Amino acid sequence: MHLRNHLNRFLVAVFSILALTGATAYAQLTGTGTVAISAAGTTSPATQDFNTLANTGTSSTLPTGWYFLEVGTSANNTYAAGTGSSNAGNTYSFGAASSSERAIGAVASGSQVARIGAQLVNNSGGVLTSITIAYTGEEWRRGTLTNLDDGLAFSYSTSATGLDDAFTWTTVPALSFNSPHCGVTADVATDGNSAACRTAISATISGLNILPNTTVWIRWSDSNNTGNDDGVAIDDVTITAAVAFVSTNPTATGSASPNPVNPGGTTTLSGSILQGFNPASVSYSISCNLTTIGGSATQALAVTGSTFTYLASVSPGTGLSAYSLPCSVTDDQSRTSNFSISLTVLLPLSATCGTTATPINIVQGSGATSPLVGSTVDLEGIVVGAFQGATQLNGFYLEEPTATQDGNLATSEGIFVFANTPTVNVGDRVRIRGVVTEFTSSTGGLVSNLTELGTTSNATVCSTGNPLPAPVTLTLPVTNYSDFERYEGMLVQVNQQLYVTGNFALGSFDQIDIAPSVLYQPTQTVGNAGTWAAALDLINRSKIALDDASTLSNGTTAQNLFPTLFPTGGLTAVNTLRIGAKLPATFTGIFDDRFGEYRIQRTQTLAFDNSSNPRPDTAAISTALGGRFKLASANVLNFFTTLGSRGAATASELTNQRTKIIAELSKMGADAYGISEVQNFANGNTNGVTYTDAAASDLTTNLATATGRNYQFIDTIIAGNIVGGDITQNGTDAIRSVIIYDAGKLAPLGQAALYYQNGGHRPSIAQTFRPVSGAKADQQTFTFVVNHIRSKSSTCGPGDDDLYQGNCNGTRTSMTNAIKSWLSTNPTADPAGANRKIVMLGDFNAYYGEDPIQALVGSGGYTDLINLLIGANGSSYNFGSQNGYLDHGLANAAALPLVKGVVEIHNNSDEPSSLEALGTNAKPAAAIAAWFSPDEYAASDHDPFLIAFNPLAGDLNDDGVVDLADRNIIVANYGKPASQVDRRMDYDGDGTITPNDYRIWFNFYRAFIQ
Amino acid sequence: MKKVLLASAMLLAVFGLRADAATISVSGPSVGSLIDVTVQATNLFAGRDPLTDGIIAYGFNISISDPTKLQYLGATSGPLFDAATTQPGTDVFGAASGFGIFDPVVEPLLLVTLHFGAVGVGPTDITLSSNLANAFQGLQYFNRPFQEDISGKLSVTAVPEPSTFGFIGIVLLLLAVGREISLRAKPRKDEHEQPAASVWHLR
Repeated sequence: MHLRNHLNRFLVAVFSILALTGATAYAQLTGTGTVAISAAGTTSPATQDFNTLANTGTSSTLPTGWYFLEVGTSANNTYAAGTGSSNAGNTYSFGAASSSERAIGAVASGSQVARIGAQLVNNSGGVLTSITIAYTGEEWRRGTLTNLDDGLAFSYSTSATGLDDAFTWTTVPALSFNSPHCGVTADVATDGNSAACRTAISATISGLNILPNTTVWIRWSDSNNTGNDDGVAIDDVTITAAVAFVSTNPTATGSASPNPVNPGGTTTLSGSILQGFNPASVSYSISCNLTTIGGSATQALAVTGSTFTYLASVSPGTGLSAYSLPCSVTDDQSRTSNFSISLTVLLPLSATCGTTATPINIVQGSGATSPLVGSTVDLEGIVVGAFQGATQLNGFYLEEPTATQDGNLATSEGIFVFANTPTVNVGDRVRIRGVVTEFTSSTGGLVSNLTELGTTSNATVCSTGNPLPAPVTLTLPVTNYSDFERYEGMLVQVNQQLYVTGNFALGSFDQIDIAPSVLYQPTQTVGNAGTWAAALDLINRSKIALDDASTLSNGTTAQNLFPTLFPTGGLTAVNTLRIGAKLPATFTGIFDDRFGEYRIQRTQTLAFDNSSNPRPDTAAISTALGGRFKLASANVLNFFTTLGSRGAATASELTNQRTKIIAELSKMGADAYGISEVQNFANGNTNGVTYTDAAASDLTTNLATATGRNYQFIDTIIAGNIVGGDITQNGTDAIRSVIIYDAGKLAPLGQAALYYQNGGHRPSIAQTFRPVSGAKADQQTFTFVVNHIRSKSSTCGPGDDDLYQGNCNGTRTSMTNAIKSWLSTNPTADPAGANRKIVMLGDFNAYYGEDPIQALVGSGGYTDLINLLIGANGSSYNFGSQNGYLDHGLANAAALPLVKGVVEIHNNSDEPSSLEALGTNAKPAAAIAAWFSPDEYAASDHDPFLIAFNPLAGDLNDDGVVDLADRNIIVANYGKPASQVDRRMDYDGDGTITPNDYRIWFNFYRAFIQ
Repeated sequence: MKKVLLASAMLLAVFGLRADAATISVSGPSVGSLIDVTVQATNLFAGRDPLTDGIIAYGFNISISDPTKLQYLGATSGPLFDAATTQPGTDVFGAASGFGIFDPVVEPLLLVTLHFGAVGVGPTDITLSSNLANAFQGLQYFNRPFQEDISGKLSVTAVPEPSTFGFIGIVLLLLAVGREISLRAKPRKDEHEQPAASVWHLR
């Protein structure tokens, strides 16, 4: 009583443990019991040393209130006693052999990860406002030495009922355990009880508001890291809490029975009440608003002790729907809480064709999910799409007959019926009973909820050959993304020109993405979070998938998709389906929602037309570009001569990969290539200790053979070739960039310079060249720089990652700024000094509008040639079914006027990735043969590009001299827009070729002849 | 056969922008059915460094005050220029052949001969002008000032070919025959006698 007079006074309290159940096929939860605050004012903390864990064999016995959850294909409901000697993914009772001093922990693997935790319940009678946890983290096994991220991440949840990730968890980094890496030898046990292997951790979780008799879960999560994982554990846990004895309201929960109920029927509303505290509730009243079912707005429900009940009548006119009846509980202290009682009103079940059935539009409702989930209903409709059987969708689409559709555009009239029996055909009128379900499926982080009828029974084909309901017109983009939901399950017709904007999944799922135009990355354009969000919203409203209504797929676990339905005749190396291909001007299909994307399941053969973006003629494009020197950028998608590492897995893959890359490079006909993604280490690994030039040499030799030209490469693993002679500047990544050049056209001047910015980042490589021939070649030097900047694939953490510009945007920006500074030092000692010409290219892993590129352009001193000369439709990569250019060519102010042109060659990114040479383990044998041809198409995932460059100013015909022939070119083009002629002759930059450009040119001529 | 009824030729005006600029002269017949007007330049390097400067082009616009009398037919560049063309906003333009025209050069330098044809009978003015804000106009040099003005006005009387104006020609022929009859005993000016050339000196 004394404490109740000090409502905000904090006390240390102890928890007790509650019961828990539940497990899934791959997520086994083990543990029982609860932890409770024993009594208000108790100061003894809850402690746990885990010494009751088994010290031999396996067991599922845990201290009361403690649990573990295993996730993965190896999950079971036991932990193993171990010393850390095992590398097997499992939950462990760690300790010395047979010792009773134990700790609970895990070794994560690809087949199993563990969550360890406890369920705490507040029995203090007050409100828990903070919890303090202290424990010791222990490392019992050292995994791969390069694995630096292992540990146990701490989080808690006030809404969880278990340890599963599906609940909402709040992470507390201060309570996470980072492995101290006490072991110096890889893959051996360590003594988790030694000081070096232990870390004492303590922190307080504040800002809590845990009411009396409610629970909170705490857990430690072990994640699978690259390489072998450490064995990590917790021990000697102490949990204390602060309690505030504030007044709390009573709460109540209730339900209806029967539920559902028919219109005109009755149902009992009943439930239980939880006591309010400080002071404790003595008596209660319950009131509910029953107007939605025809009752009183203030209906009192009879209360007995802590329970209530009331027999409610549902008026005959009540609409079919799921209702949430608002109620409130009030105690003798006049403290009130609101709650609701769910009640579904449905028609009585009937299997007879022609009798009233629940309208599909009622099942669908107007929201994202059905209001009748879990309800059993009878539907009767027309089959508009039949895809039964395991190789299709295991069901069919049923649409409300036209006569009984509700005319409400916001409610769908169609639904997927998950049933392979009875066999149905399009046009059948079918009556079927089943449970309304939201079928959840996802791809990556994108989740779909498809309203479907499952667990079916009482099915009848009432009649056949019925006319189909008229298809509803689907027009993209939709006004609001949520509008897609209104078409779910319906027969739709598209009456606008759509194009293929994504084909990444064509060979794996026979699925493409389509939109009114090819979509582009929002950050391709300079903007901000607001403009990029708007652009992304438009993309999301514009794009849907076109699917083959089949479960056949190609991947590492199944290879049964061949041939594909798209394009007509099936995908082959010569029958491709490119980004930008046109669809028929009008077509129909079934609108569906699966795997994180709205889609149309095809119901007819669709003829695609690649003529709107045909395959490029690489050699012709190169020839048309002209120029004295062609500088190329090409990402070759992990060209490794060491099989089974990051590149080709088999000799056949390597042969085919090489064939395609050489076809691409040889047809480009460049004089210098900046190649990204070439094998760095002899063993093919990251940080593989011994560098190799085998892959670079392989490419160079084969390119020379294919072209008859004298191609060489800058061998940066020879100390004498690089400034400073430190070959470790080639970095630790599995790949590096390489410069290949035609020694008959260009001569390296001095040594190459490497710039390695640590971590897994690839070094930049710079080499100054001069022409081999032509007058005054020594005065025509230029510095060629190749970059491959940090990717967007994995997180760099808050503040570095960007919602629109991708993971590690900050790191990339830092890298490009550093490269800019490095180049300002003239690292290759270009004799042109301050007037040196720099051409920089490569895979920057950033789109033009993103920070890393914007740091280089404008005041950064460089001009992005793709942006300048190609513009917003530049593209070298298709990600998320959006085009964009990650590959950039940049020129400094001295080099810019000497760039004749730039051209992207879309031989790769517009092609289905399945046509690439790699990944044959995810293709059927027939596809491996049919999807390969010895050409340059799908040689990589990035498109290459060419820059036409001539370091001799005024040499407009690129013959190595400045003479009358060059003058004649200018005069012949007087009056023409610079955009239509060789841009170099617009020396004054006014956009038109005029005598003033000739005046400037004449100065170049005079300088040349002097 | 040309029929010349009236003839007049006049140097009408002299224009210039700078006291030390080149001098442009325009000359041509004052009457005719086909009138060739020559545009020449002297004092080419007045106020300029002949060692470093040179001429790279000429360009100007042509207007005819009464297009019902005369039409512009084309131009023939001087021998030191490429063939005459047009450029944006310019009626006639010629680029100096080779790298340019450098000192020494024989003056006057013929820039271009303009060709006009009569389409009606009567007087009209031919006006040459150059807008130096247009990169193709004026007499163009390598060095600053890059452009010098070309402008002036020439009054001519146009007399069309009979075949061109059948009805008028017939009427005029009848008139001529009448005059021939009436003046048979009197000496008369030869039909093909040309008036003295007119020259404008444009500062």
